[in-house]
Amino acid sequence: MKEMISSKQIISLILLFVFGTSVVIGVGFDAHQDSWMSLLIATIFSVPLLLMYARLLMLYPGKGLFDIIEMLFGKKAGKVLIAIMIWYYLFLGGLVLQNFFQFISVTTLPKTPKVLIMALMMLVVIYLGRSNISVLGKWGIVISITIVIVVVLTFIFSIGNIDINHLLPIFEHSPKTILKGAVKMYVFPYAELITILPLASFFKKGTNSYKVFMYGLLLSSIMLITIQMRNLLTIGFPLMEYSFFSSYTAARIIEVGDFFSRIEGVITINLLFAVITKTAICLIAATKGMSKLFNIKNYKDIIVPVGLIILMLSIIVYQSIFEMEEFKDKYVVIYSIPFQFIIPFIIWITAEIKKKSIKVTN
Amino acid sequence: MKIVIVLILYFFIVVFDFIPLVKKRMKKEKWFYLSTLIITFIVIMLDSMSIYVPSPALLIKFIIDSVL
Repeated sequence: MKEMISSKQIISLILLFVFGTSVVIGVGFDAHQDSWMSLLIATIFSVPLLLMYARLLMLYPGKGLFDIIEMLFGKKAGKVLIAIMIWYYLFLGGLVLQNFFQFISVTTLPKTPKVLIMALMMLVVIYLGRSNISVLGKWGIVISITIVIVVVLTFIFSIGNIDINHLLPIFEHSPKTILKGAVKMYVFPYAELITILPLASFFKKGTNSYKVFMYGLLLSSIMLITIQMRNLLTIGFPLMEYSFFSSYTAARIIEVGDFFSRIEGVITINLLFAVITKTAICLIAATKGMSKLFNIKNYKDIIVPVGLIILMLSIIVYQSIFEMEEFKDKYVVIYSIPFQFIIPFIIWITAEIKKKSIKVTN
Repeated sequence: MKIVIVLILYFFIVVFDFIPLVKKRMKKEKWFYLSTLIITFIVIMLDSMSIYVPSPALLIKFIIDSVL
């Protein structure tokens, strides 16, 4: 029986993927108290990009990104493009895992060896990746509901700590600064949704990719804005900038009455679930690509070695949290553009031309 | 400690995943698996022994810096 995931499950996976690490490490703080505007602009920017991704999948229903690349560019050129995209997925998986380790080592387990934390995480991810894809889908539904409840509850509990002055003065930053933050948010996490494309071969027949991507974007944006506003209103700037993990800091100060406090642990659980999902999606995407590249029939046979590559990358990618911050701030936008925009754009244009030429010849 | 963790991890992977795959006689899968296993083991082991392994992020930074 062919493995399938429903539209609702895909939407929940998109939500978790966007959450990934951005839910805790925060994104695009360039505009400080105006960063919520950056987030809104990034959401609007993401609409055409996600429509392009969806259009590509609608042109070739039932096919994943790597199948489409091979159909359009042939075996040789196709394999080069597939290899490039595999690198992106592997490195992204490594970055996500490393971000998680940095968070855990700073907040909870400072003396636990890096390799132990990451290897245990990777084993869970491999188990999830190796299970039937519907397991990942069901996991997505359960975990996204859990995360949404946690975010809503932490927002409600934070109401006592809210200081509206943290949002003022509005428009203090220049449009250029706000746009700069928006571009960062656009690249990370929205445009990273290119990682969902190889999984399209698992979409149920008749899945409307436009709807799936748009609903996913809408839901994840609402959640990200809620988180951003909660953090801004409770801890504000400059504390938000100085604390590497603003959601964690915001949750730390929550206190309901005299008995309910120190609930930052739930933020760690949020991150844990979201990171597992995001890394699993990266792993499946990279493994699907590897199986295409080396003509391996069942991708699950090589999911463990591909998982080991992600583990290796995550271990060596950064030596400290400062390196992570530097890469995130200075390089990640330029590095990501070819993978998230240029290559998909080339694929989409080629797909449109080929489809039109087929119609003309018929 | 770190070295022991890595050894245990790879021991279990070889016993419970690699050997059953070899028994299935899948050539391509076997060679891909074996080469990945060796490369990742060496790199992770070096890192566990606190021997510096250059990060691919350095290459990315170098390329971006030299282009811009």
